[in-house]
Order: sequence, then structure tokens, then C-alpha cells
Amino acid sequence: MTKRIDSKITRGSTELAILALLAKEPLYGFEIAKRIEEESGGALRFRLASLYPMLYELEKRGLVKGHWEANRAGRDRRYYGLTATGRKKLAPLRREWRFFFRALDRLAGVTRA
Amino acid sequence: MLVRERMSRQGAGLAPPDEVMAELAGHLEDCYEALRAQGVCESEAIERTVGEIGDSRQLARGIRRAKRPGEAMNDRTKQLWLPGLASLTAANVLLMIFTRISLDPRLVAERSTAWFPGLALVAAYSPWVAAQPLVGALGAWLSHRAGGGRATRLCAGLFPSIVMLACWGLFIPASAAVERHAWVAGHPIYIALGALVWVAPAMMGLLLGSLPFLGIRDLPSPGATSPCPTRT
Repeated sequence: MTKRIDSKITRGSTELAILALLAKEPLYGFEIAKRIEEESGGALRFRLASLYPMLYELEKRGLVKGHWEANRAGRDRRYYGLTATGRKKLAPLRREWRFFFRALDRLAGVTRA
Repeated sequence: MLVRERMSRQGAGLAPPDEVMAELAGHLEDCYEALRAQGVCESEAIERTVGEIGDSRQLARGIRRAKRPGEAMNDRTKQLWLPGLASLTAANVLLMIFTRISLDPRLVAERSTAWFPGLALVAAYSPWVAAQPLVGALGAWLSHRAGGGRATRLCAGLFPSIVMLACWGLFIPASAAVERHAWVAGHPIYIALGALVWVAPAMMGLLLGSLPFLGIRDLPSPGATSPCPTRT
């Protein structure tokens, strides 16, 4: 059974998760939440209250840009794509997290657990 | 309807705009349909979809905060302009203090036998120049603390000298040209030497103070998510 990660850590990782997903292709809110849950094996799960404020925040900071478009079912959904600034931001963000996990690994051996 | 009803319960002015409502409603619609497609019965699908909203007060607050136009200060202000202004202020305050407590620079310049009085002035201002590493360190540290990159930290540390260079290189020649100042126009070498003695020694000191903060790793910018756990 997959254990859920503490919500505080989940919240902290939202930005990286969203930017990394959108780097592959533009997605709308529900797809983002679904993909994150699937690709993290159920460990990361976002509700409306954590996902959308973050999306709007990222949009305000110019890292993602939303536009309305019909999905495969023909319903209008707001798709988010990574902007050039977002793409630029992703690499250092990945490095920061890698650095963080390496430090945590050295401290607590988390990746060997 | 469901989202609007839940959000508007949180008080007037908190309900997000229609576009946001449409987006959230679309999310819930997709959620409901995905559950139904998995074979979940209607009543349970509705219950779980409503559960997706979570804390509607937190959602309304989060959206309102995220949609608020611009923060009071953007990253450039926090990482460059404020630290730069702080180092410029510190440099000027120190200049004022050292001018009061040390030799009178005008007296030094007048009594100097050097071929260029600016060199004698450097001697008069040497305590101030010696204090510049502290000023540079202050600017670079403040910029580092705000998440400024290496180049930004360097600019914040060297800010007083950059301003001084702009004064000598732009404002003094421009004002001399506007006022048709014959002496300044006729002695460009003095202006160049003046710029050199006012900018170069202080800049070296500022650079020296900034150096320890240039080698350290970049911090995430304040707007970025910190790897440290945050409150939900």
C-alpha cells in the first residue's frame, strides 16, 4: 500500500511537480492532478485547494501561461503550458531539490531506506 | 454552482471570478466523470467529487492571494535595488562619519603638493575606502539573502561605485554640456582621473567585501518553492 507523504512536504514539492509535467506538454488542471497522482504512484495528490492557487501563482510569476481550448471530449478547459521563463526556472529548481535530497540522504540515508 | 455556493459562503468579495469558477467546475466535472467511468456509484461519485474541493475557505483565500495583481516588491527589487540602496546608503553614511572625524578633505587637497590633488584626497579618504569591504559585504549579503544570483549579488555589492561611475561618466559630462561649463569641457583628463580615484579604490574594497558571497550556492528565489516543508 502506498503511504501518503506528509501534506507539508507535498505542498513544497508542488511547484517542481507542475513545472516538470508541463515541460512535457500543456495540460489542464484535472490532467495535471491526475498525472501527478499516477506518476508518483499515488504518493502525491493535489486537491483543488492546493493545485489551483499554485497554478495561478505560477501564472502570475510568468512561469506558466493558461489558455482556453477544447479537450478531446470537446469541453473547454484551461490548458497550462510552460513559458520560456518557466523552462529557465525548471533546471535550477531541479538542481535545488537534487541538492536537498542528497543532503537528506547524507544525513538520514533516505534513498537507501 | 456547487463551487460558487461553497466559495461565496466564505464572505463577500472572496468568491473568485467567473473564469476561475468555470475552471474549477470543469475540474469537478472531470473528476465526477472519471469516478463514474471507474464504476463508482452516483452518490459516492458525488460525495468524493465534493470532497475534492477540500477546505473551500483555504481554496478561496489561496486563489484570491494568487490572483492579486503583483506583489508589493518583485524579485529584482528585493535582490538588487534594495540591497544596492542599502550599500549606497551605508557608503554615504560612512563617508559622512569619516569626513567628520578624520582630516578635512578640502584642507588636504588645498595643502597638497601632489601634481594632482585627487591623489591627496585618496589619502584623506583612505579610512572610508578601507571600510568599503564592509559595505560591499552588506550589499552582496542582502542580495544573497533575497535569493539574488551571482551577478545580482555582485551588482548589489558594487552598487555605490556603479552609481559613482555613472555620476562621473554620465551626469557630470552631461551637466557640463548643458551648462556649457568651459573648465570641465577643457579638462577631460581631470574628469577621467577624478572618476578613477573616486571609483576604482572604493570598487576594489566593495569587490573584496562581496567576494565571500559570490562563491556560495544560489538560494531559491523567494517566490520559488522551498524544499523545506511549508504549511498547507
